[in-house]
Amino acid sequence: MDVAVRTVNLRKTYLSRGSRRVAVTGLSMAVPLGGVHGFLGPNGSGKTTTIRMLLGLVRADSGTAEVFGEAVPKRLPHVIDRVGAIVESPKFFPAFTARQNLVLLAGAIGSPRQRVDEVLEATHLRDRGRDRYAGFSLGMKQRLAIAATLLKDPDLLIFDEPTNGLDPAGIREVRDTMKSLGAQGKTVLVSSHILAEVEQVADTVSIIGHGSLLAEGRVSDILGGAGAAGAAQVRVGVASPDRAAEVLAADGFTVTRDDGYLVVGTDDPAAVTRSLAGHGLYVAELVPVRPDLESAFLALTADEGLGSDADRAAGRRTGAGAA
Amino acid sequence: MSNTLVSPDSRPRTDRRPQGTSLAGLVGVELRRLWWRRLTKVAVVAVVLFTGASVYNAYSQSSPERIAQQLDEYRILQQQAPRIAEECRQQQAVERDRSGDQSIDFGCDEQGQTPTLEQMGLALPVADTITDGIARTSSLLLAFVALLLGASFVGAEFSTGSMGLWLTFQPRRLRVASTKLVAAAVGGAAVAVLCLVLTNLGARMVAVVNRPGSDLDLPPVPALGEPLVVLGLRIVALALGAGIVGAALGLVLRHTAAVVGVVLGFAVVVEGIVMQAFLQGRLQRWSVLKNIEAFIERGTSYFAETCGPTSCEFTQQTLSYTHGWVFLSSVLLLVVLVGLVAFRRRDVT
Repeated sequence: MDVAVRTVNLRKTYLSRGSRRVAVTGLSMAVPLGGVHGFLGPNGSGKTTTIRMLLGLVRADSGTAEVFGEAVPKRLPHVIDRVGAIVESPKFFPAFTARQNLVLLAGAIGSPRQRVDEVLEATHLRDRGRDRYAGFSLGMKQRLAIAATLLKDPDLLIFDEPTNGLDPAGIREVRDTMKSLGAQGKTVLVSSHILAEVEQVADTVSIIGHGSLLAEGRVSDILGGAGAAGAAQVRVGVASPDRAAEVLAADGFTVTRDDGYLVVGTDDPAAVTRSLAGHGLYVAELVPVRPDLESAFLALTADEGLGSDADRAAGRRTGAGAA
Repeated sequence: MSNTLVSPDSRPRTDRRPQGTSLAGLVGVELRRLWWRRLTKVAVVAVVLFTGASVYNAYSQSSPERIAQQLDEYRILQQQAPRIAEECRQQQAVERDRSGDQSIDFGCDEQGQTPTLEQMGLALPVADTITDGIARTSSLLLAFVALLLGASFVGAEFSTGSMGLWLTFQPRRLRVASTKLVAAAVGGAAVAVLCLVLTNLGARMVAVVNRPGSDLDLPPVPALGEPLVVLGLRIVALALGAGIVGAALGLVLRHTAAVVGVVLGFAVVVEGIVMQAFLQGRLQRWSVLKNIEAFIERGTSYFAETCGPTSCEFTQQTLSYTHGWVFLSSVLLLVVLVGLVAFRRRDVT
């Protein structure tokens, strides 16, 4: 497999006020060339630190990293013009205009001034080019950051939590942008803890927790694994859930409760309706619980005490099929 | 509008990748940023206002009316001198008679002598002399402005977080740091040159406007100790160095306020207290401010205790011009080295 990014046993420890915090511990991962690759993990799992190490902003304690086959950070200058990155929120000079910020960055890489106009136009910022960055909305800042990455015409784009703070329209724009760039043959590495979002755009994913890799591969394979990890489930809505749960349990089904619904483990949904109807209980709603990235993620991280309470709540809601 | 943030094909129409930038090109980019900064414009305005105020002060001090008034006062002093001396002698005689001690001396001869016009500071207003005076008094202020510009130039990049973005475009850290130091040096020097040029222009105007009439009999202007341009070059060098130090400290401390705090703290605690309070003034040899003075004034002096075989006393010590520039160059080199090492090794988050 051709890879755009590869890390082997990457490790980083931060020293702060006398205490040590291991941010990344022995992370080995590979991002295939072309398409969108999701880089998933809960907050504090080491995603941003890994990205910073790939970009030479943070020095790894040990391990190796490669971008397009070049060891970084040592050979980073040889590939940096093929890499565009937005690490965390966009950060430009607030007192300068959008155009001034881009002119400086273009000058730093020897890009012609004409390219600044091109990327402003490409990101629909042409009319706001003379406005100060400080007055931009978060969505416009994100556009400008993308414009900056496009100054290089990069083959690899790294987006770190690109939808943080964006409104729904902005989130959709970013999502579609990543899809579009991936469709152009570029490699897009997007880190996020919002799994549903990545699931919609990513072709492949790496899931990390506590700074090390938990799973990696095509999204479909990860979901397949999650589905296979536990029995198929259906979510059942019924007028008397307590009675229904007793009936189904008596008939040998595995039943759990979820907000007034029952989550029933079965490969044969018809058997559930038959069982309930046989006792005068009629199903009002029956939905197959599909394994999703969130479920897979929670399954992978469950044993490690990872994920927020909200993540766990979400896992219960969807049945946490792989758990 | 499209739902994507970019057009379907956002590749450059120029159909070529960026070719990279030379070191000089990168310095040019940094200088452009320096020029665009608000603080730079504020500094330029402040320097222009300060220079204007200094020149105006020189103008009012050297106006023909003022000189004529001072000459009148001088003549009155000349006329009164013999009477003052005579009164002094009379009092001296009374005291000698009263005490019977004929060796009592009130110094009446000295009291009867009037100072020269040069000693009174009365001379023709000449551009070079005016420029020399203003330049020497503004040298320290210019150095501080240059230091502030340099510190803010780098500190702002860290505090806004844009240093990280910059490094994703130019990952060679030593190259990046060097260009920032050079830009800060050029900025500091430019501010000093602006001040000196404006001062000289203003001084020439003052000399022309305030040229006294032939009725005023003034002595010839004493020659300057050195060509004005040599003094100017030293002041520019000082501002240039201060700009570099500011930027280098910015690389270490990563915040303008931190740099200003450290510099002011150093000035108050080390220069103001430690240098005076310990070792009976002998530490002043290593005072940055004293060495700046020695550099600008081509040597200076300070009082420190020296001990002989039997006793100790405070004597005047000289600090040479050579000591001044060697010491300042060493400090500059040290701060730059620390700045480069810190920037190269530390994480940028």
